This record gives sequence, C-alpha cells and structure tokens, in this order.
Amino acid sequence: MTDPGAMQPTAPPPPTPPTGPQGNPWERRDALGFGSAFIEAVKLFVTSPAEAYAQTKRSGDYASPLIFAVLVGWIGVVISQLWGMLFNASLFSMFPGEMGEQMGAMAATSIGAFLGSIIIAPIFVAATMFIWSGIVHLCLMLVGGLNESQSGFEGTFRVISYAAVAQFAHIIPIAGGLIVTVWSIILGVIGLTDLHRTTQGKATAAVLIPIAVCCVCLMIFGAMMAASLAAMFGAQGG
Amino acid sequence: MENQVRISRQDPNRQLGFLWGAVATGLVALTPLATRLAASVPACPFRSILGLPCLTCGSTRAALALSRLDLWTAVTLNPLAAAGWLTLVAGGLVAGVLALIGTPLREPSWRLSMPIRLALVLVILANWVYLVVAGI
Repeated sequence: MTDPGAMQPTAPPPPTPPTGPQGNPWERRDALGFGSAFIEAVKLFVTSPAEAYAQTKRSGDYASPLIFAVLVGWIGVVISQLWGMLFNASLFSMFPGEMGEQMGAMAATSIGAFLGSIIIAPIFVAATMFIWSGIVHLCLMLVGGLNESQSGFEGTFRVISYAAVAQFAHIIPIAGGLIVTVWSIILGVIGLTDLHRTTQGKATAAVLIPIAVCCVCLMIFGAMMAASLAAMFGAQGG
Repeated sequence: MENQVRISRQDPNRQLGFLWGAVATGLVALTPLATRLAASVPACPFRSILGLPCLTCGSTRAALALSRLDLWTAVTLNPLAAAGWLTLVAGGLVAGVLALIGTPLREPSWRLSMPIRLALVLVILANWVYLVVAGI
C-alpha cells in the first residue's frame, strides 16, 4: 500500500515574507495615491528623517526616488527663482569685486530666464542626482563606508534623492540656500548610515569631503570675516 | 501610470541604464544652450579669494569643450572633470542602449582595498597639482 498522499503533487511553498522595509509613503504610492503619497513622504522626511529612511526600500527601484527628487527639486527651483527675482540681485551686489557683480547679475532673474529654468530644471535635477550620488559614493568607497552595504550605488542614489526634500527650505528668502545645504548634509548622513549600515563618522566624511573640497573657500572666507570682526571688536575694546 | 508601474518592476540594473540614458540624452539635447547656461555659473570663490584653482576649476569650460566635441581641450582644462562628464554623458548613452537591447550594465563591487583607495586620492591630488601648475 502506498500512501495516496505521496502521489499528489506537492503544493508550492508559501511565498517568503519580505524581510526588508516595505517602503516609505512615496514607495507605497500605488496604495496611497500619487498626491497623498507625495505629501506623506515629504512630511515624514521633514519631521522624522530617521524613520523615513528606515522605511525606505534598500534596492529594486531607481525610478521612485528619482521622480521624488525631480518633483521636490523642481519646486525648489521655482521658489528660489521667485525669490531671486525679488531680492537677490540687490543683496549679492554687496559682495566685493567680480564675484559680487557676477552673482548679482546671475541673481537678477528675468522672466524669460525664469520660465526657461523651470522648463529645463527637471533635466538638471535628474543629472544632479546622478552626479552628486556618484561623488558621494566615490567618497564612501574612499572612507570604507561600503564594507557592510547591501544596497550599493542604489542605496546612495536613494539617500541623495530623498534628501532633496531639503529643497523646500528655499521657501525661506535669502538664507534658504544655506539651510538647504545644511539640511541636505544632515539628511545625507542619516540616510547613508541607515542604508549602508555604516558609521555616522564615515557617512559624515563621505558627505562633507566633496563639500569641503568645493567650499574650502567659504570656510576661509568665514575665518577671514571672523578675524576681521575679532580685530574690529578688539580695537573698540582697546 | 501603467508605464510607471511597469518601469518600477524592472531589473534595477536595466532601470538604471534607462534612467542614466535618459539623463544623458537630456544633457545632449541641451547642448545648443550650453554657452548660455555656462554663463550663469558664478566665478569660483576659491580662485577669487586665493588666486589658485580649486579641484573643480575648468569643469564648466571642459563641459563646453565637450559640447563642441573638442575632447583634447576638455582634457587639458581639467582631466578628471572631462573624464567625469564623459562618464556621465557617453556612459549614459551606452548604458541606455545596453538596457534597450536587454543586456544592461552590471554594478561593480564597491569594496576597494586600501592601496586602491590611496591611489584614487593620489589621482585626485595629481589632477589638482596639474590645474595649479597649468594655471587653469
């Protein structure tokens, strides 16, 4: 006698439950709807970035973070261009010499340039995501921040793309650009630490090395300003 | 929306190839505007303050040279930047075509040994020394 059950085809194994995160609200937009998912994702990355990156998928989809970055980046460009038309020309003309003239001329945005920049901004935002992700990923390689990573370049790309939510700080006139920079650094460190399972030190180094390389001049400028102020107050005190 | 769902369920390497290719195509399409766009890039503050080129000085001019397909001028203006622009644009076009024909590029391993990391740092520094010596 044979066991009748032994002749029956074996049932397929039950699907293994997904082990990684299920996705942040933007990555669950099929269920939440496009607009709601976008708003919820922005809220989450603004109010609780660590939780947002913890929910973010590790791999499997380049398009979602890129679309998110292009949307928030485009909004940031529109806001900053509007402020540029209102304020920046007169502000930057206060900078000394050739730099002040160039920055003032650049900031004095005409209507044509405004419309043009809005049209081509998505291409630039997308290109910036690839360029900046590549640079940060190279720096992560240099500092050994990818030794425990399972998500590779895509992880860096996701972190940088979602960190573009900092572009909303452009809503603050004049100081918005600086806030965007600082906020992006913070979001980048939080995201890289989580997605690449690396230390905060290595993540910070990877984000700050390219900024330091490009902006050493700003630090020198700041040091010179601080020295000037110190000298000025010292002279007044004496 | 249907396209979006379909794209998002592809092999990530193929998806990267498509997106990288699309970005490269967009940059090539903007080539006629390159001179006007470059004019909006401000002067390098590092150079303005210290009188020395920064690591990225010459990148905009290298991009303009590449937009005229003048590879030699681009390389002489900033070798690493020229290599970077070529990787972004030409690499993107190649990656896009490979993704289209169904053989996408595979992501390499990113774990580098210490000697290779040091070599990369030396290459970046050598590039900067070249910029300083050549007065870019």
